[in-house]
Amino acid sequence: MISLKDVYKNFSGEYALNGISLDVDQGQIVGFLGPNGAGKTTAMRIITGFIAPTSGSVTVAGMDIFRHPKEIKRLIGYMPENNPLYHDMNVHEYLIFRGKLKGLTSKQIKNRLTCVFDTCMLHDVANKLIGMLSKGYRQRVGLAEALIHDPPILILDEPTVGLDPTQIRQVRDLIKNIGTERTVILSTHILPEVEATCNSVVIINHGKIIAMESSENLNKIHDTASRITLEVQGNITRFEAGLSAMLSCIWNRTAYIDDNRAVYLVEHTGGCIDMRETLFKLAVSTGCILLEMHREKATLEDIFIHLVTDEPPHTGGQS
Amino acid sequence: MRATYLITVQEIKGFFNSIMGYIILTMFLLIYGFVFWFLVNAFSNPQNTFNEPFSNFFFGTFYYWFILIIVPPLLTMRSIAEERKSGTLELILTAPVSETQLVIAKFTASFIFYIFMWSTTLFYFYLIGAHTQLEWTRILIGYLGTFLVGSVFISIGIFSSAISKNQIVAAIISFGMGLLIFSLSFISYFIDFQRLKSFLDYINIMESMMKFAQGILDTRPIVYFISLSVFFLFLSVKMLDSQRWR
Repeated sequence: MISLKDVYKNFSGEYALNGISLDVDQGQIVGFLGPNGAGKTTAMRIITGFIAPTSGSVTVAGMDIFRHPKEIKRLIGYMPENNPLYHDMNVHEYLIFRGKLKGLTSKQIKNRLTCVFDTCMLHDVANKLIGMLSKGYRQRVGLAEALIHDPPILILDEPTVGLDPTQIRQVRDLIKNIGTERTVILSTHILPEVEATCNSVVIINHGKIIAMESSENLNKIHDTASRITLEVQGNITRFEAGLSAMLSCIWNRTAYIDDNRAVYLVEHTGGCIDMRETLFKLAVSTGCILLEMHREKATLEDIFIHLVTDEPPHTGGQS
Repeated sequence: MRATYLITVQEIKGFFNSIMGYIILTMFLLIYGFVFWFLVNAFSNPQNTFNEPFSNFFFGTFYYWFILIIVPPLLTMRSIAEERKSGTLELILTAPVSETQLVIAKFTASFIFYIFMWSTTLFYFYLIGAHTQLEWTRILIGYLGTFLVGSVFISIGIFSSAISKNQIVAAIISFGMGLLIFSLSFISYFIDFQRLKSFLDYINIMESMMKFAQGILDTRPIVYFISLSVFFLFLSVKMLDSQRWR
């Protein structure tokens, strides 16, 4: 459906996109994941035709973005970053204006309006000025706008930014519903969001795709993070000696409570390997009592680092 | 075509939904009401004798040029700069709308408002029409000239708005450019070199407008004003297009 080949984008000497190649099939919900400034927005703007790539080719539904910009724009529903809207229009009027602009006839608009009002739950605010709406409602108006011409492709740039948790959940559910019959690309820098909504994830950093994973895979990585916090009571010198003897393991004493009680942070250098069992056995064999064992879930940063290199995030060692 | 129409209507609504349109109209009517009162007073004084008709003065006072240079920047400063600032430019250009359609729509909306603004002064002629003989062709040619000169300044305003993000900056740029192009009119008075002089005479906005005010319908200034407007609109389209590549 959407295909990018070796796309570069140069902003006054600096590359915002550094050779991105990507294929998105029909019916997929793809999440662009990456820190701020990674190039997610730039990639989306290129697909929507708002900016042109410096080099490389982009095709949407088999059409080149340079040759058929208008046809492609008709296929795409786009919600830009920060969800810009005309604040001096009311919701109803705004959606009609946008629908007509996208080439719908008055009759089609009438049908679509009831449909998007239902999907985005906008009935209460239909006649209110957009400028007077709360952020959650504005976000829904933005989504409704993107959906008004029933596009087969939806591109949403950070659709949940600035919403409260319940609203985030609503928007995610909405995207999931919408995405059952459409191709959706959404960007975020929040990891759980991708897990919650997408079938596959594209991780972008410094303008490069550093990984493309299905979200199940990502889930696994996310789940089996190897940073473990331990609180140990007993002969801690023996325990520490045991830790040091373990291969490819880095540990760090984060708190020293008294002579036979301390808190450790243990990590496996080989990436995401579950060490809980080994650590439990070590504690038993050294005659210590485990007061606490807590596994931290991997953060986005950890996953980045895991995916880019094999180095662990911290190289703390003994303190 | 449909998109152009839609954006034009939307933009005209914007003038009347915001306070800006009303402020411009009010100031204009106050200033031009004063000009009208002043001229009527001067004409009705039996001590004064005028060789030229009323409309010559109506389209030629200091205030006339002041309004012609100051109003278009105020009308056009929001047009594209504000869309860019609020991010809605991205919404418009990712809908199936071309840069050309957007620029033409923005221009048309401001131009229609401008025409509407000047049309209100037709009432003044209606008022004095009862008391004196008016040559309506002359007056209408005067209006035509006003609209044509206005289209030049409005297209300059659209161009300034297309290159800036801030509407105040856009207004300042378009005011400066308008004043500069208007001032080109005066260079020809100081130049002896005949060829250059005749060229400068051709692009002399003030002289051309004075002909319109006298009721002379000459195609040369019409072509000049229209091509200048088209040129600046073309530049605006290119400017918007080039921003995709930067």
